[in-house]
Amino acid sequence: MPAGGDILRGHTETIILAQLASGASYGYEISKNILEKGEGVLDIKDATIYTAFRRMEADGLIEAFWGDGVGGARRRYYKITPKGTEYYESKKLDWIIISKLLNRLILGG
Amino acid sequence: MLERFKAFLELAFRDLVPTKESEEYKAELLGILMDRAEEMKNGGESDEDVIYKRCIDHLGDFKENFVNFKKVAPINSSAVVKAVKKTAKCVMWAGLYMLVVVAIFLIVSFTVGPWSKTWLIPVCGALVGLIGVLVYSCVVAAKNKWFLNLRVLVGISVILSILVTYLCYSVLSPIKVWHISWLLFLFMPIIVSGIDLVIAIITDSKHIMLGLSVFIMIASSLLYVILGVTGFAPWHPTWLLPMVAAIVDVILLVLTVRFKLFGKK
Repeated sequence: MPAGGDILRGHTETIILAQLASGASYGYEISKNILEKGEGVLDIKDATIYTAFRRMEADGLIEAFWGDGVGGARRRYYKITPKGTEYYESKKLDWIIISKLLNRLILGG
Repeated sequence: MLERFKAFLELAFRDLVPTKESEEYKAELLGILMDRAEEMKNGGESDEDVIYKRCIDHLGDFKENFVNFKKVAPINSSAVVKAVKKTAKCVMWAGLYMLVVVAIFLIVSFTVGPWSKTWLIPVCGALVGLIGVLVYSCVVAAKNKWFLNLRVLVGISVILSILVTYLCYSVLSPIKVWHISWLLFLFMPIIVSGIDLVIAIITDSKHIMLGLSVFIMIASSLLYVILGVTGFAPWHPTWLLPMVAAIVDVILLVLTVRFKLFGKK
């Protein structure tokens, strides 16, 4: 069953930045990637992704631009900025440390 | 499907002021909905209702972002009622005023007469009423510091006042020299532009120099015509008056542009 919410809370922005680190993308594609890479378990609602986009755009981590979509709709693309890349790298290092600690705390050892 | 999603979003966004940000949010959501619908169709789903429902469901609580946008002010029914009452009151007073004017006109016409002169009563009565409303509007505009409105309203009031003066003088004066009363219309632009300039100075307008320039040009040209028509001054060399005024105007404008006087005190 797809889940999100509590599990992903606090990591949504980092997850999105990770998607954008490999190139510009748009809302639906990012949402689809998360669902696929999360093996169908992890899912983020479109509104949540949008909120993260707005916050990161305001912080200068990403930049938006409009492109053509399907069926007559427009698509808003996002690309990571140098500041966003820097932020993403620092978050990655944080995650390596935190995940190691959490594994130790939850799994024992 | 596009129209169906659009209709859904229009309904959802109806309480928001259509700003650039809210319209972009709507467009982005539409793009996401269309992308998801397309993907589902490509994946073999053919039931449009199922596609529609799943796409909408996956949006999540998109309205939580509405806090960032300006909402349309709800129609205040008491304010509407108040405005209607105020308008009705104004219409009632205007009607009552005109009734009194017509009554005076009829009484004077039947008792004193003559009809050839009493027609002035309803005409001038209506104009005076209008001037009264304009003067009241001038006071409101001045109180609220709507100076541009004030200047326009004062201008119209002065024009109407001169028109009333002209009508009264032309009809009631025992001296029937029409071209003299007609001269009032030549003075009208001078008076209007002069008063406008005074208001511009008092209210510290950004365009005082422009107003001054316009006033000099109008006043000099029309004074030249008035002096010539009335015979107070010969046409030659009085033509020098607008000529000198034009030169002064040009110098004034050049200095204004050169030293960027526009927009300054």
